[in-house]
Amino acid sequence: MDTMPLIQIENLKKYYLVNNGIKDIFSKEKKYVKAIDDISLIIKKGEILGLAGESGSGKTTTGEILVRLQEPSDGNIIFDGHVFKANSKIEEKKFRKEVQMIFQDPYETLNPRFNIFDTIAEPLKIHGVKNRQDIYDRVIKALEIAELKPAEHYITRYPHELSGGQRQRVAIARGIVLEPKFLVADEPVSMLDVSIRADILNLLKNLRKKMGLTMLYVSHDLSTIKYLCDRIAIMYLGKIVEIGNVKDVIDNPQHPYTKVLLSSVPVADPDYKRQSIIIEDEVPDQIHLPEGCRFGPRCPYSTEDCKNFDHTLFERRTDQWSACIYNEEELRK
Amino acid sequence: MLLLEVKNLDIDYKTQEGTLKAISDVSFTLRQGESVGFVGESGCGKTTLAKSIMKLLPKNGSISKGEIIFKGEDLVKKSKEEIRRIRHLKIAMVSQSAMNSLNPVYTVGDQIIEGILAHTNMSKKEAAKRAEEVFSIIGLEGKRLKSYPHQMSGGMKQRAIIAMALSLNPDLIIADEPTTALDVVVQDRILREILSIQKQMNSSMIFITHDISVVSEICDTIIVMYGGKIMEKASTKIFFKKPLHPYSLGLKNAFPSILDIGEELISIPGTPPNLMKNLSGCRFVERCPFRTTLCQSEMPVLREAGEDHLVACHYIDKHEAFTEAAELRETWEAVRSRIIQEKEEGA
Amino acid sequence: MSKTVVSTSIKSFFTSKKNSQGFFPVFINNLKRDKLALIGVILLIFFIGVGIFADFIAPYEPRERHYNEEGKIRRLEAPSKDHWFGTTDVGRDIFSQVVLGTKTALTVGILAALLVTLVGATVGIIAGYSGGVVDAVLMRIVDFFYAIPFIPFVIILSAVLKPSIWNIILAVSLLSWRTVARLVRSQVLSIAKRPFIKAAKVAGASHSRIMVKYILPNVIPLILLEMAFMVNFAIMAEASIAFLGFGDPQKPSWGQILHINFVTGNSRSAWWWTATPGLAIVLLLLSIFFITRALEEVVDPRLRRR
Repeated sequence: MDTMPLIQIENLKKYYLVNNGIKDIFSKEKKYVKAIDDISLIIKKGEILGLAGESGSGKTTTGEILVRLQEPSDGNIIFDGHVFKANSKIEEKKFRKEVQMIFQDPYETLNPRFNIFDTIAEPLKIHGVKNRQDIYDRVIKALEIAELKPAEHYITRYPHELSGGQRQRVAIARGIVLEPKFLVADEPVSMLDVSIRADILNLLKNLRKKMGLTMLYVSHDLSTIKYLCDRIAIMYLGKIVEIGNVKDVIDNPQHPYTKVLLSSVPVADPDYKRQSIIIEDEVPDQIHLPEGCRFGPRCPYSTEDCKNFDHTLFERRTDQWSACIYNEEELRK
Repeated sequence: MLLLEVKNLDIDYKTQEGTLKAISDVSFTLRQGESVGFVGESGCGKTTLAKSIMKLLPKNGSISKGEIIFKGEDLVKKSKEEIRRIRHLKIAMVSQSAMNSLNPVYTVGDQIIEGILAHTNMSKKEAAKRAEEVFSIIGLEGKRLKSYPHQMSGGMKQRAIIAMALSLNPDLIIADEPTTALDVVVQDRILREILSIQKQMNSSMIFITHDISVVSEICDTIIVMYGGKIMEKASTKIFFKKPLHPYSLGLKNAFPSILDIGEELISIPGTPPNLMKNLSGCRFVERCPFRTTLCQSEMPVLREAGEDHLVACHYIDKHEAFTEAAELRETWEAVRSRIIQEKEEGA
Repeated sequence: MSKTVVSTSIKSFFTSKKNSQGFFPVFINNLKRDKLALIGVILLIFFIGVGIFADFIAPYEPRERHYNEEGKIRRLEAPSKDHWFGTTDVGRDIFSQVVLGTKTALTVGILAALLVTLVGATVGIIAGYSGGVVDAVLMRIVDFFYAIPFIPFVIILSAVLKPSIWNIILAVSLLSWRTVARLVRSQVLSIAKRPFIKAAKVAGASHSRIMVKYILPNVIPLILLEMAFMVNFAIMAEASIAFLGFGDPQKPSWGQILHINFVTGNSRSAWWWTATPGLAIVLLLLSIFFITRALEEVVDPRLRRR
């Protein structure tokens, strides 16, 4: 596999200014929600990277910044060798063609007033494809790749006539019709029924095979990440706490937070005796973040030293990086 | 002792387009202290069933047939006023969006105490004490009683709702996706708490979820619903080792697990049936890889398939062959082609 | 599949825009059930017919004085075969005045409503979609217009400019677009957050494309509803202004008929002079109200019957 990076994120930050009302006008100190606080990561060509974390971890914001739905506060994104400059119209249009996104809610992701044909043809029309036969052929092809067969059966339909799974396939067809290089999928199966989730996951797998797509799969569901992704990055309160190959991270978590997360996932086997690590389940306030390690206040292993920790990632096992000052041996004690 | 017995229940919704048969001919029993998990896709009728027990069906929904016998009394025949008294005092419900049902202008404690006072003869002092008690059971500090809903996180609010539901020592707890909107770490703890309380109080529980792994961890019995009917009922221990219904076999293939080692997931092709239509055959017939003409004409009844195990399939005797075939991708791919072909012929 | 089949089907995809959940199908469907709305539609069609053909229907010039065989002015005559709605104190035909008044009422109502919704919807969509500074500035302008009292403003406006129905249209529009702008903005705010708008942005759609192709169609039901309200409001406003005597003296209008009736002191004695324009106003407003009620049901599905 080609291991060239397609996307390099360097020191990415996204802060939101919090306006707390009248009394804030007089205070000089500005308060921010640090949705993403200085993260760096690489997504290799042709790989599927899973981004996991609880709500408020910054995983969705990261995905939205990568498709430029939001502008970063600071940091660089290098896409396919080009440093991407913010607010440049010409570059933006080219960029839009190569980066697409699939959203969580299949009921809200499609314009209720567009039929399926118009929905999928829309990106083509936006990017200047005029020939009707050409548009038609490409729409049909996209539908077939998204496994909505027979394609002719679907094009005149409206979203409300389709099931959740079918809508999500339409969204995927819309996402791939421009033949992008990179796809962000934000919880694409979490609102679908279990019996059809696998279809969408397998479809995403096939897209990589057929189109050489690189993907960022954002999800809170570690089991689907394990099924779909090559590598996984775990986020907590705007920081990456652990990153590595999926199998390594899930079988051998290095960061205490990853351990806690994994131990909390229910398992469909009545004989399996799961040992949950019980921790304080309230996540700290995002404005008043704890000093040092952000997981410190909830961490069962935390010590005084953690308060001075700056979230450096250490390579604890081959290609597996953890942002904890302690290694496995030390944690065991 | 039987706490709840549902017999041949039919529930219809009247809509602009016609009548939707949300539940047809559902029967099951629940013993004191037993917890049963209802699983199924959206629209399979699991939430409707829960609401019907509490008589909380929307205006256009009605029980057209059947009995719901709770502690020897048929709830279907009860008046609204009688049901209102049974609600809370004997049956408590926690739903997915329950945390949004807290009134924002009162403290959480006031709302719980109010609930206790409305249904018991306790004094205000006793009620306050009881509220504190249930708060500590559910893992919330007593001082949280003085909080307003907006000062609490989603997890805390959901806990407060559970505390409210439990404050009257109900005989039956109905939990409808109580943790679906919560993060996994919070979910895990709340589930543990619900389970320990249910065991402590020896209440019975109906637990509704789409997540079969949750059922496997906290329920004694699992009921698989599809298209408004029960497809399979078994003790969880037996079910997860040996599901029998083709739909259950399909679900097993489709469910990703954190423990899996690279097995390919296979989903069940097709979509659930349209319950507006008059369906005579098996509800799963469109998506079933093993169907015959008999399945298309006749709905199988729920039959004994082993100890503690009921299945609604005409071909229980062939389950070994089915189980083997269901593990193969080709079996389900054949269903997919069949559905595509039917669509093409239809068009 | 043969080539011909494909190309015919292509055509149909580019031309067919039928949407089973569309606005008008639902509305027409509601009419079948909602008898009041049906009556409203029939009445409105009747009024519009009268308005369009007013000049042919009106038997006389509105200001023409009529004399009887003895050469006397037909002063305050009750309705008769010659004068269906009776005559005024100077022998003018009230029927002709009411018929021509229909034209004025509808002209003011429809033109003002069009202008109001056009301006209001544009401002609302731009403000709601853009957010930030643009939104803040536009909404402060809206607040400014909310602070102007209606009747004094109109009186001063007609004192400064000369009284005409165009000035009334202008006055009504100037002071009512703010309501539409605010309502449209609040709906756009919620639409703009929906993922299909995000999806359009990711696909590279420009802001103007998103506003026209994605947001506008989703607020059109609301705009139509507001337009119907505004027709009513404008007709009522014109009637009030004319009744106060600030109407266009050249254009017969219902308010003006009542104004003359009132200032000549005949509002109690000549019931036909009061009742006919009054009834016309009530019926027209009622017909539009019945229609808006049915429209509201389409816009807000919660009002729909299950």
